[in-house]
Amino acid sequence: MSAQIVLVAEDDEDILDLVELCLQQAGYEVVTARDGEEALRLAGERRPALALLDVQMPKTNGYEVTRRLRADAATRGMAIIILTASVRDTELARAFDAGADDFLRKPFSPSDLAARVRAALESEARL
Amino acid sequence: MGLRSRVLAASIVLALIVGAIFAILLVAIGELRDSSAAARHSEQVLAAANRLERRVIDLETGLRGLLLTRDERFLTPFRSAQAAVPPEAKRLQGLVANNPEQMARAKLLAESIDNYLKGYVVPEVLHGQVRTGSPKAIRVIGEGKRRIDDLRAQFSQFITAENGLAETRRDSADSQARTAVLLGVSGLVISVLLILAFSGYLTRALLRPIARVATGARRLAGGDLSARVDERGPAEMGELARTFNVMATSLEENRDQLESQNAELEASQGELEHAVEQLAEEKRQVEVLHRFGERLQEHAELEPLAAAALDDLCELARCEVGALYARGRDERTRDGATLLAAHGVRGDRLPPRLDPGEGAGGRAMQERSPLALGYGESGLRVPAYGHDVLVRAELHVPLIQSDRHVGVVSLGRVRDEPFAEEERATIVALAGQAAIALSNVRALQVARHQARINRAVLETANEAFLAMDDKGEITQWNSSAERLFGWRPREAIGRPVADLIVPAEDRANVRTEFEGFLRTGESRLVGRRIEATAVRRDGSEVPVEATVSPLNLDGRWVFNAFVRDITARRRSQLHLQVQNAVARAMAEAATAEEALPRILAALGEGLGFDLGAYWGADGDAHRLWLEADWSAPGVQGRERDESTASGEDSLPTRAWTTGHVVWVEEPAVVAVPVLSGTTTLGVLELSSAELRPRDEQLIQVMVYLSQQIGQYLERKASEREAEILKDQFFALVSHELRTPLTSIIGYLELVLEDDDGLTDHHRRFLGVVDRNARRLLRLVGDLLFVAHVEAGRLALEVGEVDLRTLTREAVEAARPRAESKELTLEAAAQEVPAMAGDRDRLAQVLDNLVSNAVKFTPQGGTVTVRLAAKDGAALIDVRDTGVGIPAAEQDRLFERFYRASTATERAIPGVGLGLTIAKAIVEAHEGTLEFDSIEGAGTTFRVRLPLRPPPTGSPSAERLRGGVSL
Repeated sequence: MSAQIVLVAEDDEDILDLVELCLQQAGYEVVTARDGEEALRLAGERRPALALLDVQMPKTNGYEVTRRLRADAATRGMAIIILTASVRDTELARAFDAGADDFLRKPFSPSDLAARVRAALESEARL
Repeated sequence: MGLRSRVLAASIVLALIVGAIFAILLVAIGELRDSSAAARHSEQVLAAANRLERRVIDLETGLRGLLLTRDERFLTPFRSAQAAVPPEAKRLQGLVANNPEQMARAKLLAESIDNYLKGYVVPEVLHGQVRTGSPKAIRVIGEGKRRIDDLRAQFSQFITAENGLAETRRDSADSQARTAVLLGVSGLVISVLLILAFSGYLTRALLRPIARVATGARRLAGGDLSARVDERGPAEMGELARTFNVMATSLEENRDQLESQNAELEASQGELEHAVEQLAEEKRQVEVLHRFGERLQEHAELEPLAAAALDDLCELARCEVGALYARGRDERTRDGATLLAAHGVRGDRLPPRLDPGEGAGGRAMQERSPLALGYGESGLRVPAYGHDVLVRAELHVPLIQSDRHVGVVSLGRVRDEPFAEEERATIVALAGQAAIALSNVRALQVARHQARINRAVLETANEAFLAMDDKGEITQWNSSAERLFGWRPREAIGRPVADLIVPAEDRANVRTEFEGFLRTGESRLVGRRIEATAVRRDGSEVPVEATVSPLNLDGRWVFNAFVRDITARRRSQLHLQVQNAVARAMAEAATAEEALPRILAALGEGLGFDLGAYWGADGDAHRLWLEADWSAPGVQGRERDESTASGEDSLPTRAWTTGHVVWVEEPAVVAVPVLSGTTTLGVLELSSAELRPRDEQLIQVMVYLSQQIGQYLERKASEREAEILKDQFFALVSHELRTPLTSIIGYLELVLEDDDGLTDHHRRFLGVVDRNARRLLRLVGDLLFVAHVEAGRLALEVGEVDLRTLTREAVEAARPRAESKELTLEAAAQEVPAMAGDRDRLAQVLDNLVSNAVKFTPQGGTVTVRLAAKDGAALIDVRDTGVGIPAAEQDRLFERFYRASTATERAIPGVGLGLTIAKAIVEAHEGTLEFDSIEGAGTTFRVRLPLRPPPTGSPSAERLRGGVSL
């Protein structure tokens, strides 16, 4: 089976690299984007199984990307995990309102990350 | 036995006896008849025998004849006799059948006859060929004669016997007759005697007692009440007699009673007559007094009354001179009396005043009893016929009223006739009346004077005054009342107060209260200040405050009421109320959005408007946007959506642009600009369908309120801005601090995972870096957490929590540290049901408490952690034998950044947030965190968490404000 594609959108280079490394180690093919627009473009092109979206991104933030992905029939069924540094209740609610499947708080441990991604992909597969 | 029975018995007996007698008599008569019959029978027999004999003789004769003559003609009687004889003989036998002797004779006779016939006649005569004259014939004739003689002898025997019988029987019959007669007579006599006896009995038993009673009654009727009746007599008769006696006795007694009463009456009659005479006398006196009194009543003024009284008195008492002194109108305190009237003498000749004790009159006044002076004692001279004449007899009678002297009337006679007892008595009585009349009139005049003064006072009073009688009708009405209510006194007096100034819907209640007061003497409306709504003549209502004072005058109630128009006061109260309501709305609401509708409601309801709105100013767009609106219950609200803006010409816009209050009266619209400083934030608009005249006072209130509201809105806006800034700051801090930490921790983990090429040193160094990075991260988390808690936001991830596991984990995490200090670290965690809560946060609490315990316990000490469930809550104890917390500092322990001196002195690391956070988390789970501590001995922290059942399904982020929402 070919590796599943995971899209990561994050404006912090270091974190982006970190995530890419973790996921690659976990056996996923990783596509990276540095802002919301790029993320949307790549999502349409590469049709990843899951998108990891940072909230705070230039141009278009993670919520908006989530909404757009959900609005588009082609990308509607994608699993989406929001990465956020916030613990605020409203932020989390926004994540789910926008249509995300899960969220992951920063900082996270790489193993946590891999586990969450796996879980989201598995639940998406079941649907 | 009763009388009736007795009579009955006697009657029966009588009847029986008489019957018996008759029976015997009948029997005797019967026997007599029999005897007579028998005697007659014998006669019959005799007759028959005679007849038979004759026949036989005829026969013989015939035969003889025949024998002699052979004339066949002589056979005729023979044939007939032959034919007739046997039957007659038989008959004769039959007749004497009852007598055996005679029967025997008759039989013999019959046989003899038969024999004669058959033995002689037939053979010899008839058939014996006997010639006539022959010897045979002679023989036969001789035989025949012999036979006939024989027969005749038998006949004679028979007849004699029968005669004897007949005689006997006749005798018997005679004697029977005699007997019968005797019996009859005696029977008759006996009967008569019996009847007499019976009637005698009746008489005795009935008639006599009755007669006695009758006699007695007659005597009673005749007046002899001593008549009594012999009570002997059978049964009812005796009863009757006794009853009669009782009656007679009673009559006698009554009569006696009546007689005695009569005597008494006669005795009292004399008294009555005497009393009647007295009464007549008194009546005359009363009439005199009455007429006097009536005449007095005709006067309502003091002096004329006095004059009339005096004149009458003088006339009645037949005095030529008189003077009347009494208290005048103005005398109050002095005891004396003024000369009010003089009769027969000029007033100036008499002293104008009399004080008690002064002169004869004064003495009479003082002693309160009449004083009579006769010749020589008096000194008054009166003019008459050109010279003065001495008054010869004087009588001074004090005028007493209610045991107080109110004056004196002095009467004088010129002639020498002293005042007699009866005259004195009459005069005293009349004087008494005069005294009363005078006092009354005086009192009346005083009262009238007082009333005039009162009325003047009331008239000029500022407050409305009205008085009512006990029928609820107005008796007084001052000009202030007229001003307040619009009714003139003439129109108000006599009308029921309820109908005049009480609004229609309250009238029934007022009347009920009024009647209740009349009945019980108590009422809510009486005797205290009451606030109510009254109605004016023109129908408009006016809020008033009234004080109704009841007064009981001579048993009747009157009511005085002062009434104040409190419209202004009410208005002020209302405005104050509205201000308070608005202030409350602003205080209670959390945001301006929440507050505005409430403010509008407070204004609208308080001030009586139908609709309210707040238009917010959008300075950029130069429009007013409807930010909040309100409608009174039952009033249809305004159509509104977010984009409703006020029209350019509308009243709110006008208020906004001009910055002044706009007031339209009909339909009522009031628009008030809401300012903060010089900026208009928006416009308050209140409207109502009815007319509302411009009210300056209200405008002032509205302006004041609008300022308050403006400040409030301004404040709220700043608060919101501050909130937003704070949120932004949090987000920023959170993000900016966490992002680098993410990289640090993340890469570190990668490095540490990738074992190859790492030396132990490297690993150890990197471990230090990792630990500190995590510590930094935790600190950031704590800071942000505390900040969130302070801001009132706390997000909990509610899931299933197993406290036992958390406890164990916390203990295990602290074990390395504890072992390095040689502490005894024990955990006693019971099985506790899974609960709903934020696992990470609760773990944080436990970690904090356990690590604190370890941190603050010096070498060799003990830390014990206990977990148990009780009454639906989990109880966690963390006990240490550490340095403890000084008592003075215990109150501040949970403060942010607070560190006890026991910590700082020993340089125990920590920022001072742990307990603050722990408490916040515990309280967010609706639990409690408490502690006990003794400095130097140890500390015990106690956590109590209510065990809520964990939620089913996946954990989700719950929004809350400082509390768990489940």
